[in-house]
This record gives sequence, C-alpha cells and structure tokens, in this order.
Amino acid sequence: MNNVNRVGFAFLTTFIFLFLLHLGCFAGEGGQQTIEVCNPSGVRSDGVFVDRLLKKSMTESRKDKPPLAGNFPEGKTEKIQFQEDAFGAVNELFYQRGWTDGLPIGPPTPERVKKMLQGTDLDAEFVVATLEPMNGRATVGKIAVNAVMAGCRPEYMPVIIAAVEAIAEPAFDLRGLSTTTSPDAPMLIITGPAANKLHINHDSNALGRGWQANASIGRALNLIMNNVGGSWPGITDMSTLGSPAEFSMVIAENQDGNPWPGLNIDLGFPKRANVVTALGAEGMRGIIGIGHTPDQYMKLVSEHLAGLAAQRPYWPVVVLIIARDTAAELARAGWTKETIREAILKNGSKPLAELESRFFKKGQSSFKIPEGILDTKDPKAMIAQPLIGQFIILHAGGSGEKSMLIPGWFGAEKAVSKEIRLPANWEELLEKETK
Amino acid sequence: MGIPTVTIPTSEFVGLARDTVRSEGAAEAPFAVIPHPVAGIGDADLRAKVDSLFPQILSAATAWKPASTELAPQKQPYPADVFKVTGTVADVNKMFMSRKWSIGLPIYPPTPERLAEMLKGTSRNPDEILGQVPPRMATLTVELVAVHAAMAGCKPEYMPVLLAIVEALLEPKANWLGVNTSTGTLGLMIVINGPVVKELGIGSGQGAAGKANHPNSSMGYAVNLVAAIVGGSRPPDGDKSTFGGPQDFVPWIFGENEDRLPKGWPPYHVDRGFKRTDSVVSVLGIYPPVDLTDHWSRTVQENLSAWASLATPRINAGGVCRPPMALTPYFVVLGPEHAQMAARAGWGKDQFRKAFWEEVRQPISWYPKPCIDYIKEVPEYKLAFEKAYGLPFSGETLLPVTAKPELIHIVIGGGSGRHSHFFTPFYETVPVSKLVKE
Repeated sequence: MNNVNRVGFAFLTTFIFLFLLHLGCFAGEGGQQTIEVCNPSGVRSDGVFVDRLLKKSMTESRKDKPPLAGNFPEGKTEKIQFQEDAFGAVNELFYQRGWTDGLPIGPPTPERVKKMLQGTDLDAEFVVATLEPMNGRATVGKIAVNAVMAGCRPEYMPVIIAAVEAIAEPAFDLRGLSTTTSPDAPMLIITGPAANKLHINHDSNALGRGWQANASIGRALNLIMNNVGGSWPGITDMSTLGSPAEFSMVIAENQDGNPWPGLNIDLGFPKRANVVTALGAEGMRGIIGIGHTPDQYMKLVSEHLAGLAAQRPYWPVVVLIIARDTAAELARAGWTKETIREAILKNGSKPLAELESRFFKKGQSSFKIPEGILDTKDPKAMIAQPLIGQFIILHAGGSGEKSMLIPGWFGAEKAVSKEIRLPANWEELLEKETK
Repeated sequence: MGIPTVTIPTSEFVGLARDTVRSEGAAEAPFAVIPHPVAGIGDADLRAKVDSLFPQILSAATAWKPASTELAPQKQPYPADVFKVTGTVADVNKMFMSRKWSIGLPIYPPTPERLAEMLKGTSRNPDEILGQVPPRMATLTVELVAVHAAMAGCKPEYMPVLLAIVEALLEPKANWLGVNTSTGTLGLMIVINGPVVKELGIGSGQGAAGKANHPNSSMGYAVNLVAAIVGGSRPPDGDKSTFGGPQDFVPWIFGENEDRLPKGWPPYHVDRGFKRTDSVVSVLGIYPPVDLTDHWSRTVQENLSAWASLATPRINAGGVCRPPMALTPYFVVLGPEHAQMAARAGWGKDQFRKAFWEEVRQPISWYPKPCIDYIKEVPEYKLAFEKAYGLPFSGETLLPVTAKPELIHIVIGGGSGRHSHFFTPFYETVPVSKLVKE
C-alpha cells in the first residue's frame, strides 16, 4: 500500500486496535484458558505414533532436537493451556514437538479442521496413503489438520489429497527423497482448469511469493511428509544443507497462449483433466536466454545439462520450464516439444567409450541405467549427456526470456501424476469460498 | 528545462516503470509504451513495432506536460498506524492477504502487545530510520522491522541479527533493488557467524538452509515480508521475476558450521576482517545455487575436478566475457565432508581457494557465441576485457570465472553428507557484512 493510498485510508486509522479471539477457548481453573487442537501426527497401522519411534531413535543417537519430541497426549485432540495468546502458545508448542517448519501455523482447532474437511467428500478416516519413512497413515483427517496449519483454504483439499497419493507411489521413491543427504524437496505441477479456479499461479513469480494457493499447498505437503511420514530434519531427513524448496514448490501450467500441447497430453491424460504431477526437485537452474537464437538456446540448455551429466549418466526426470516469451519465439521458428528435446540431447552427446571410462570402469555400480535406455555396446555410439528418462517441458512463468531447469530425484522412476478427484459440491464450494 | 527524455517500457513493464517514477519522488514522467515483447521477435517485427511507436515518442518528447507536478502529501514513517480489527486470527490473515500485506503464508497479527515485546529485543529507538526499501523506496524504521518480525513469529532476541541483516541489505552495493525486481530467479543468501549462532539456536548443521530451525525460518520470512510489503516487491509489477522460487518465502539463511572448519581455516567473518568473537551477518543477492553431489572422490584433487563443469556461472548471454563481470564474487558453500578432504591433504583455506579458482577455468572458445561476439563487437571491449582479466582475448585462453582467486568466497555449510553448493550473485552486487549489535 503506497503512501498515497495511506492518506486515503487515514479515516481507518482513527480506530483503536481491539482484538477478539474466537478460537473455542474457555476459562479453566484459576483464569487459565485452554484451546482445543487436533493432532497432526502420523499413526502407523500398528497404532504407534511415528513420533514415538523417532524419539526412540533420537535417544539412541543422543539427539535433543526437537526438545519435546513425542511429548503429547495420545488421541485425536488435546487441550492446550495459554495465558493470553492462544495462537502463540500453539505455535510454540507445536514447534517444540517438531511439528512445524518454523513459520507461523494456523492452530488446527476442531472447528477449522471441520471447515477444511468441507473441501472433500471423502470420509475423514479414509486412508489416502501410508507415508514413508516411518509409515504413518495419511488419513483425510490428518491431511486436513496439516492443511489448516499450512494456511490452506478448504477448496485446496482435493489437490493436496492427490499430491499425497502421488508421493506414496513407489515410483516417486518417497523413502529415498525424504531421507537423502541431497537437497531434494517435493515439487508439484498442477494442470487442468481447476488450477485457474483455485488461483494457483502459472505466470509471473509462479513459484514464488504472493499466492496463497502455491504457498500453502506445497507447505501442507511438506508438513504432511514431516508429521505423518516422519521425515524429521537431522533425524530421518539427512539433507546436508537443506534448501528453501522445503517450504513450498508449487507451479501451475500456463495454458494461456501455450503454443504446444499441454502437459496433460504429454502424460497421457485427457486435455481438460485436473492433474497433480509430483517429483523430487534437486535444485533449480536459471537459464538466461536473452538474445539467444533458438539454436543457441538449445546449446545453452545442453551446457547446463552437462553439469548434471558430470555427476550421473542417467537422470530419471528433468523438467525444463520455458516461460512465454521464449516459448513464443521457439514456436514461431517451428520448434515443438519433441524437436526441442531432440536438439538439446543431441547437442551434448558424447561417445559411449567416454561414458564408460568415467562412470563404469571404476567398478561403480551405483549408476543404474534402466533397461532399454542404453541399448548399445558400440563405443563410438553418441550417448546423450545425460540420458534422461522423462524430459518434461512445461509452459509456465511470466515475461522475460528465462527458462528453468529442474533435475529430478535420482531414486525415482519417473514423475508421478494423479488425477485430482473433485467433490460433488465442487462448484458450490468455489462459489462459497470466493466470497 | 533540459533534454527531453522519454521512457520506453514494454506493456508488461509499464507498471514497474510507473511505480519506479513515484518511488524516485516524481509525480509523473512521459512514457511511450511498446507492446511486449521486444526481445526474440526478429528484426522485421521489431522495426514495425518501433515505427508505429515513433509518433508517440515524438509527442511525448515535445508535447507532454504532467497533469500535476505535486506528489500526494507524504505520511510520516513513524509511528506506524494502529487500527482496530474485530475477528479471529484467520480473519486478520484474510484481511492482510487481501491488502497484499502478505506473501501467501500465515502471519501472527502484529498487535501493539507483540510489537512492544519485539522491541524489547533491541536497545535501538523504534523511530530510528534505517533507510528506504527498494523498489518502492518506502521508509523503514526499527519499529517497522519489529512489526514484520512479529508477523513472522520471530522472538525478541532475534532483533539484533534481523536489524543487522536489514542494514546490510539497505546498502546500495547489496543491490536489494535488483533482487526485488529483476526477471531473474533471484533470492538472498544470508550467512551468520560468531557466538550468536549458538546463542540463538540458528541452524548451522544438518539441513541448516531448510525448514529445520525457527530462527532461520522466521528471520528469513521477516526479511522477505519487509521486501514485499515495505519494499513493494510483489508480482506482477514490483517483482518481475519470471518464475520466482521458494527463496521468495524464506531465503537461503544459515549459520556457518564453524565447528567443522578444517584445522587452521578461519571462519567466514574473519575472512571479512572481523574478530572471531564478533557476531556477523553477510548478505548477497544470488541465483539458485548449483549443487555438487560427490560421493566418490577420495582426495581433494578428485573433488575439485568434479567442480570443473559445474561451477560455470552465467554460461549465457555475455556473462563472463563482459569486463565488468571480471570482479564478480562467487560463493562456495562447502559441505563439511568435502572440506575434510582438503584438510586431510593439509591444504589451507587460501590454497583451496586458489586451486578451486584454477580448476573451474574454461577456454574462452568454450563459452557461448553471444559471450564471444560481445567482445568482437567493439575494439574497446577487447582492450577492457584484457585489462580486467589480465589475459589475452583468444580462443585458447583459459578464462577463470572471476579475475582473482580472492573473489571466491568460502563458507562451510550444512552437516554430514557429501554435498556442496556454488552460488552465483546477481549483477552489480557484492557481499555486505555487518556486525550484530545489541
């Protein structure tokens, strides 16, 4: 709000600040108030909370953070005491138990969780998936609790549920992703008409600040992985440095003026299906294509890929996000997604002999290349650098001749896509929530 | 009156242009708006666009008069307005979001009580003016930092660190303006050194730059809230970042892992000229880092060779070949296990620095054509290049990423695991370090 508008709003400033909390609080003994909150933590099929097992492992390895790990009453809800500040009390306690990411959370009161559940017609007890590494069960109810904490709106629930389904697929390799020393974090690509309806950003700053949907949907997924799956930093999540991507990384496809068939078509879904595609993202590389001709652009992307190839000869997933200015330019010059992929991979190619001497002669067997990807023994055959299982090209982003390359988690088989199942009252829900 | 000057923004950037004019203190300025894009459309189309724009340019230059030369009356920056809201925390969040006092995640409502608590964390006066936050150039006071800190859920004891970070960012050479407005995927890297890291529990080990630690998350969030709300760095007009990124929620903010410094290696703040016992923050505007996964090298030499094709920043339009780039500072955030390999070889920090700098050189012929063509365009550029790098401009010359090894900054970051990161800064930005004062 700039200074000019502030003057205009001067009349608002004559009010005194007053603040009423309606969070279901009631006075206990001796003026102590309590607030009831729902438990966000994963319970396994054997009835044990994942926190208990994590606390045990912490004790064994003499780790003391989070300080109140496992220290909570078993049950669906609990009453938390507070003096004046319910919001602060819940935030502080949940953080100490290892249930938050250090940013403010919305206290998951039964009322707010109930409201969140209006975003789906699935039963709260329905088990969407069991999440590794600690095998907590992601019920619709637990998903809703974490979604409230993340700051989501009820209409985001179908997206979050689909995302949880996606990451639980073996092909996603949630166990690997959530425990690796690598800096990987989950990324979601949303396609289909629901993306716009939910105001999931696909344009300027598509991955960044300002949009509640992008910010909170990704955050909910990370909280679910943490709280239900038991991926705790330093305990099970061994990411050496971590990264901001652990907070949220969500983007929608830009279908406005997309010169190529959309991602749904690439993935084999009907054009207008609503789909969540999940992958483990291992960093982002900004590609600045200013002033590049299409051929130079292809070469530039190859050069970025060469850096990946130097680490591993095969990457199961790589995403190339091309923003609209560059996409329009390439399409005008007759490039399609297929010819773009082809040219990029051809540019960096090296003879098989070189690959072997670098990666295989030393007897290292950690570089598994799936059957059918590398099907030649001819040492002179030109091999793409790197070999890519699934090379996704996504039209998204704002103005500016920029692209972005996102390497995918090496333990996955592919990016996993799930259709977003909308509840029967979807239209009604959207109508209601935009008011 | 001077030379008539017309600004020509594209239709996508006119919002940013108008805001910039107002932020710089003028009421209006003449524009000639050209339809977006002008890049990548070929000469014929570009010429057509310019030709049809020319009458507008001419008229703006000769006939334009501002409707008013007076800016609207300015408010005093202190004290912050206080106003009444009736409702729940959720209602306040909704309201703040609709007013764009938000970056999309929940906040603590900044009540006068929370503000008063937060201000206890610093002995500085709340009405102290820290500077103007770009691009809006709105005035930032200590009080306003405390308001955003309260929204982010910071603890009062974080205030001295937060104030040091903000002061560092407000230095023009930090180029916070660039980070907050560029089309690039930019963010901040904030490194914290000294006793304050342990005192406040700032994450400096496993997952330090992620979501594991409240001080990191909340301070980082507060800084980005200031940029968005006070600075107006918001899409689509203030922040033109094509993609943005997770670093827009919380930047790369971590304590150096001083416990795992190789023997004899000074911590980063000592490199910067501070005492070991000082607490220091260092900030830099950066692109997303490149990460090196190296589980296989046994020696520091093998590890360095793995960097060779990875630490190639700005392999894009111009970039390294441009003489001003010759003094670009880069950051190597070394994982402790990689740093240990240098230690085992008995290498000092400067020895590693020099070896790294030598290792990541590439022949000029390796760089893309636009880079090389730039030099060939104008004879003076070739001379400037050779002066800046002290090297002849020819295909075989091995070009380092920056002219001097001292411009490779080294920080030990993260916990166990064989990973390191390489950070490229935004243009015309250098790291700025500030002492943390109570």
